Amino acid sequence: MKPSLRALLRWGARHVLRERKQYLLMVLTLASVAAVMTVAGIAVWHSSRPVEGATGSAKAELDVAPSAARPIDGVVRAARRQFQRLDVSYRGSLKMSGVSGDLRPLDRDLGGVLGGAPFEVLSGHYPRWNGELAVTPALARLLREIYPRAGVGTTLTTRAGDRRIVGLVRDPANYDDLAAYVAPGTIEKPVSAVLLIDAPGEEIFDFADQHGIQSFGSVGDGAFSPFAVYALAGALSALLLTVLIASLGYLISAQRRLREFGLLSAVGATRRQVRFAVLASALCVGIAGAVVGTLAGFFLSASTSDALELLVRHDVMPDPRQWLVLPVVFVVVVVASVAGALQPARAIGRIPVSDALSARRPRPRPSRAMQTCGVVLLISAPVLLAWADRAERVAVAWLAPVVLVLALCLLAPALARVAARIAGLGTFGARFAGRDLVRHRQRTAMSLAALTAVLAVPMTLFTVIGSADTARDRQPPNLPPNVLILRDAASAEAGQVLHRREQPQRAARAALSRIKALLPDARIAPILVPVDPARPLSTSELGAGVPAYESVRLDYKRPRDKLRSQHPTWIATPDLLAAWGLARLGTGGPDALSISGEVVKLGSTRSAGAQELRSAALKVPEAADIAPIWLNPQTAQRRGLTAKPCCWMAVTAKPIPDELDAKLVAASGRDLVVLLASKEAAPVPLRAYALAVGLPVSLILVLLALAAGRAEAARELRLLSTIGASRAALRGIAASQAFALSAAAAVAATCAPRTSRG
Amino acid sequence: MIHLSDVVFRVGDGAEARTIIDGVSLAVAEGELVAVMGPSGSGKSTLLSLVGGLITPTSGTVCVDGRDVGAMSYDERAKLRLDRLGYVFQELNLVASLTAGENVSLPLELSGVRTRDARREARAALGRVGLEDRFGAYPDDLSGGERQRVAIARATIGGARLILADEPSGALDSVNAHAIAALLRRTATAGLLVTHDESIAAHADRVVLMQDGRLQTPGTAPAGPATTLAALR
Repeated sequence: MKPSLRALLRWGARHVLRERKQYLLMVLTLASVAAVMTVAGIAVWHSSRPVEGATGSAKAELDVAPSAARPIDGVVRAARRQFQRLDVSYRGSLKMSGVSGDLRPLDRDLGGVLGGAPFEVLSGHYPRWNGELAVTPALARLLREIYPRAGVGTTLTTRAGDRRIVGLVRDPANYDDLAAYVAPGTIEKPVSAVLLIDAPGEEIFDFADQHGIQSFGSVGDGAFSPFAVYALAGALSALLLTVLIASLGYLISAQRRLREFGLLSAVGATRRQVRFAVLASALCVGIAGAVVGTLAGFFLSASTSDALELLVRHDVMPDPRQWLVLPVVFVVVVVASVAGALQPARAIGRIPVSDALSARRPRPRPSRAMQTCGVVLLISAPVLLAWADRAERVAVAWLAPVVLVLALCLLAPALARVAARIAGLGTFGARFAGRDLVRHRQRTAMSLAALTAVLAVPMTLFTVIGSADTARDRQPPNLPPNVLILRDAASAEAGQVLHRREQPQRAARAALSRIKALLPDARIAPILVPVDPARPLSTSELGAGVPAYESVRLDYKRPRDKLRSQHPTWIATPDLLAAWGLARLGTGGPDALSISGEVVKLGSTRSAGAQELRSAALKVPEAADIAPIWLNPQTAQRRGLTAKPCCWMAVTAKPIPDELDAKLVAASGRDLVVLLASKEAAPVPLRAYALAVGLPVSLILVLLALAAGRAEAARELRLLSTIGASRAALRGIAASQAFALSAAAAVAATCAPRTSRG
Repeated sequence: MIHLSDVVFRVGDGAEARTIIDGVSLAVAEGELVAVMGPSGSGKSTLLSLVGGLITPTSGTVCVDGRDVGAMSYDERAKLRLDRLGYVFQELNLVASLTAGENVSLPLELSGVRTRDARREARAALGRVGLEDRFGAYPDDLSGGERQRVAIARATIGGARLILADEPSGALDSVNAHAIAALLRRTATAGLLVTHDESIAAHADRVVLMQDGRLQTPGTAPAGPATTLAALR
């Protein structure tokens, strides 16, 4: 390194050490960003799911689905011939009452040749013989919709007989996996087979290619957990804000040292050397922040691996390569710090030496362009948040505080002038504080930006979570709380709305009478739907616009009353959907519908029919007696369409009590499934978490910022004390400065969520 | 060594334009120390800045070692200051976060001299002003007189230099002020010394008086300081 650069670097380092209080806020801000980036980086590193967790020591996992040309047994035999080390598991199918899809249990053998359990037993034990079942916690949670205390010891009613849950197991590669496991060798009619193979990748590819196997698991599925993505986005936003804040901080610091820079020039330093002197301080601050931050991030990541696993939703394997994140974060933070100092360095380099020697800062010229830009950005921030709220764009929501901080930096001089004008009407302390804000506009802008950032980030998090809640609220409910639907278990194939088989009338009648006994005031009616035997409809064919209850999640967590108040007209019944779908497809749908005695005539064309049915759906406040009307029965018959009972609907006057759910499911028997309105679950208090974590952090940073501001004003306060200002007056001045800064920042920060929610 | 020819320096535009230096011509020969005296606002410090290339004249020429400072680029002027000129100010002569030795070695290190060599030179320069034992002291730990001596050591490091001293004794008591002036006289090969103090000016080879941006020659100056100056010479 050149001696001149070394000398300037030494000077920068000494200056930072000497003025460490002044730089503390910047070092802490950079360190916080470095720590967050480290944790986020490691989370992203582990976010992709490792195949080792899912398949033990196997190189790959092949999912073999049966077909006429390729029976499962044939593929398994071929695999056994070709590969030495192989584990085969079969997947069965269990039809369950109360669940729209079927369970697909796997008979994975824990003692297979590839060894090692591909999952961990959290409680209970692994199934040992037929009749036992182990489920993942995610599946257990889903089952609690029907079986309120689903867990170890619960007996599930399936078409293949009762199954007792004997264990809770967790897939280390995916904590959200909805999986069930049975004892090895107990699946009689497998619907697919899973081959775990330990062989070179090319051989496995060739084998999969030969046998037309599409489903192929390999190292990492490329899916990032939402947390990791949000954390990274948050860290990058924070980095941008930090660059902005650091830039203002370096400008303030450089202006304080203006005479020293003048001296440097007078001694003979070139402009480049003066610029480097400014950058040297930033380099030292960046290094200090990066060291503290990456160390904090390292310890945070190392000590919270359990929490990390819960956040990325799979086991985190010890991997020394993850620490490569540390040097990357280190470099990024140092570069960000130096980048923040580029503009101040250029500005200081441009000041004439004689002005610098007499510490005369260039008089700031009010720039209309900057102010206009600030106003535009200030308006853009809430618009962005509102848009993010509506369009559910989380990235845009994170962009909003960055825009807001930028706007405030640009508008800070004008805002401070207004504040000073208002403060001029007040006491001496307020007047002094107001003028101080105007005079030190960079400091004002920096404080404003820092305070806005630290308040806006948790507020934005709050808004993002609120936005997610709102999006969930907008989802239609599956059923009104006073309705249940009873139907054939065989029709519960995923994606199939209508079924072709005739209902098991006898079983249905028995089940209906049991349900009638449980719900004495219920009106129960069959729903007749024209059925094309040759062509079942799928939910995808129903199109968007009117929700299909098949696609609504069963774990929908909203209070019923809230749902009813929010969606009074969005209750779509299966028959209405079916008729609507048929009309859209133009495949001989009904000519009209009777909805609670009111006849709605459907149009002859696909689009007209869809429109009218959509209007009809919106008019139906709750489930009603709906029947198709055939104006020309001959046409229907000629097309092979007949009206058959698709299912039965029970409507009660009052919402069905939660405690009856399990009894209703039991009453439905093995051949029928009962669909109930989703149950209320305790809402996840994410907003509370955001505030609980965000606000204390914000408060600490706010106090630091205020302390820095007060330290800046200390010299002037001392001067005032020498001319006779009382201690009380000085305290008042300091307090009014703090108030002016924090009040402005609070207004700036809180406007974001307010506009978003409004 | 220094030659100013009909130098004019104006600031501001239009009606707000003010002439700070108005047609000054001055020559400083090698080995000559010239004291510039005059009331506040007469343009003494501006004259120093023009010679040092901190500002460029509106018209006229400022030559140092025969080179026109006004025609030089920013970096050429910086190089000139680094190689040939040494500044001494009234206050804030030193970088607070560097030791006395580092302050003195700074010009050499900026010009590319190896740190070890620069330190050795700095120690020698401090020795010349009697502060060899204060090499590692920070400016805050030095007295006012010591700081000025460190500044002089820095201004004279690296061989023969022109000293541009702006009120170097303004913040010192009379004993220290005379010691500093004597030191300047002893160490400078040539230079300009701006001062209010006639007794300090007495250390110079020649005294010129500035008033309203113009140089007054002894005898033509107004009564008072000029008479005293004339008597001094």
